[in-house]
Amino acid sequence: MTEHDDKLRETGRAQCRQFDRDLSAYLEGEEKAGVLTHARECPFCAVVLADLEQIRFSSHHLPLVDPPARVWANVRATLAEEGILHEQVPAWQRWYHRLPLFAESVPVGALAALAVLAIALLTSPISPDNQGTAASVSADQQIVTAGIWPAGIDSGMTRTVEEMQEAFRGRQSSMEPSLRETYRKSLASLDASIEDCIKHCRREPCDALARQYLARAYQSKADVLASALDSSDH
Amino acid sequence: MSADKIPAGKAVPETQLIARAQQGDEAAFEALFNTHKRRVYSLCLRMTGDTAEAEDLAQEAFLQLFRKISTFRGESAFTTWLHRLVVNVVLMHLRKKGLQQVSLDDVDTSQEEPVKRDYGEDDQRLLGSIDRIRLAHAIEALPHGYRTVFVLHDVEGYEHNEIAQIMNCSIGNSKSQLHKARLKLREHLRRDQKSPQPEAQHSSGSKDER
Amino acid sequence: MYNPRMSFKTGQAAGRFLLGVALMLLVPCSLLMAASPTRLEKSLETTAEPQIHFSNLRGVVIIRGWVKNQVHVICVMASPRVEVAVDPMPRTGQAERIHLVTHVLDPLVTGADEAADCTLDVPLGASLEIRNRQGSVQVEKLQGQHAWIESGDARISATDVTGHLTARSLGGDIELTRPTGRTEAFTITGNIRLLEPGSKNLRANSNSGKITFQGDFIPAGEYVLSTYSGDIEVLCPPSASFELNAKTVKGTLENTFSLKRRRHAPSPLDSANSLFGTYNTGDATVELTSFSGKIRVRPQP
Repeated sequence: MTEHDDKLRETGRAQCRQFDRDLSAYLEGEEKAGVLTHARECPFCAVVLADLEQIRFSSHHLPLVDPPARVWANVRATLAEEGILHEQVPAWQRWYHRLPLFAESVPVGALAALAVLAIALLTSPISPDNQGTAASVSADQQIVTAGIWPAGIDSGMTRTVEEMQEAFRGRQSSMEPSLRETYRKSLASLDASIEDCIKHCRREPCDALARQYLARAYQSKADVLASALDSSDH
Repeated sequence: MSADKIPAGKAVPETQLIARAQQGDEAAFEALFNTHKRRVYSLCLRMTGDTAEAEDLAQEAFLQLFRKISTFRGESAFTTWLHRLVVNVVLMHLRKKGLQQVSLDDVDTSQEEPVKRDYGEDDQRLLGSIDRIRLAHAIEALPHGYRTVFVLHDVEGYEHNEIAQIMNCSIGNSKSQLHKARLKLREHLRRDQKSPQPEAQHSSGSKDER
Repeated sequence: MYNPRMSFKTGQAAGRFLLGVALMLLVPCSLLMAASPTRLEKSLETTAEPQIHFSNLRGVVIIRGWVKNQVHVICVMASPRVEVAVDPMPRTGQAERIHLVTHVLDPLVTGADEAADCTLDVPLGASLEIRNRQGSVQVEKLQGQHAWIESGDARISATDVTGHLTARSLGGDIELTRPTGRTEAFTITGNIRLLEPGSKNLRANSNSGKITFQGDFIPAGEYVLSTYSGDIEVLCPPSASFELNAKTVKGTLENTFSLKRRRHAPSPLDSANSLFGTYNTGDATVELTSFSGKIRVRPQP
């Protein structure tokens, strides 16, 4: 090694040290042309510069993280306790409470009688012409009690599916519209199948194939609802 | 009993949500929460490096927000207002814990350690696109003071004069701490790249898809 | 003579010039980045039979088998705020497993902006688990142990897959061409097409979509095709050999093969329309059921 080589090495190291001193300012946007010049000449300093720029770039795009659901639950509970939250009264209730009829007290007995009548009407056997999933749930219960529900599907499962459906109804407003539409179409297709099957099973309770289809449709509905709820969680 | 849900398919302007929240509308509160929850929680998590603390602080930040929302007059963007509030909540917490945020000494660069270089090795830049999950872990592993400045500046985009004001330090200090933070992160990531550790379980509540 | 001051000034001017050029290049680049798609391209060395797990939100996903022990990923994201994270395990050396997950980095990014169109070239022996919430999936030439493909509303197509193949969609059509391993296809409202299947164990189910089977039956194979209201159409060569069990509750049955009908005592459990019989030597078992759809079995033209 010659004296010249030593001098060159020393100059190189000095330039690297200067680079180190200027690097912070350069990354802050200050004019430090020497930084770029030296980076072009020194592969090791070039690596340092590239690394720090990469870190700076990547840190602008860090993934966002979802908080656990209890955060909102706790916030909501505290705000409610502090009286900061006001319940929104649905429009129909606001109208209802304005009626002079209900400004006076109504005989309790008359109200009770009305309630009993309403309950009786709502729980009477469903005629075959009834449409809708709510009707099919009570029809399901009839089928369960009639003992022709397919194996593997009982009132417990129908309740679970109904709960999942309720949860889906609550969350679908927050889903991507096209995704929501996909799930709705699938559930509509399955609901149509279930209703059809139930009607058929009432007419022909011994039709094993129809019962198999009913079981399969219910299973598929549970799968689709589970997928929808999972999707809305993300 | 439940408040009317705000249909998410229909984007309600934030000004409307704020106005409704100022009237105590629960659905508006929830909508504002859902809009900002990820940024708020992520900021708390990055500044504290701890999921339990981040949860508590995010909660506290939203509570303060909703308690004070009636005072928001629209002088600045709501997001900016919320952001400042979150940063204050976190810093107050860190100060209460007695954590030194930023060295109050004047910056002395004369005795600074030289930046590590891998002399003798081929050009080994950090991999083309840094694994952001690993970067997030590396940020959590930074010392508190470095982490706060790094998160505020490089992640959240605060300027040094703002950081200096927030953290009650000099601009020079803020710059120096930021540079040290970046160098520390670089060291951590390069170490990781050379001898990778088993993937740490990220218990922050992020939902990894299978 | 060397004048350090002159040299410094010249250097300073050159530096300013270069910085200016760099800035001029940076501004349009950053504008482009904000508005235009971003791209990821990555190659990873793998074992001969890696497991590939890919979870995507939206966009077209194409997976192709190739002879290299390498996974080559090219993704084009509609927004720079969408990222595809690629995680090989182990991190160094030949990966045995690769996880790819699409993340949306900004909650304001929704809809079509969430799209990531990805093409993966994977070793022929790779096993797959692909979930594409709102986008099509196309898989070609795979010989790995299993391929699980799931999509929401878009099409799934798989060609020349030899392992256990499962394709599931809510509303998307499924087309499987020449699968040779155990094969399952499920959809709620989509149609299913099974073309030249070489599988000995094949199940397909659609609630309201149509199922079309076009090809021959493998001796000792079991084929179960079922719909609720969709039609089922089976087209097979005159040389096929199968035992047919076809049933429908409210639909219709059409068959143009001359079957040797089995002597079958009517059972109270039988539905109204059923057809049981053997064609040629009855080497494969074919079960076709539909609640209200039309079932047709006829020779391939």
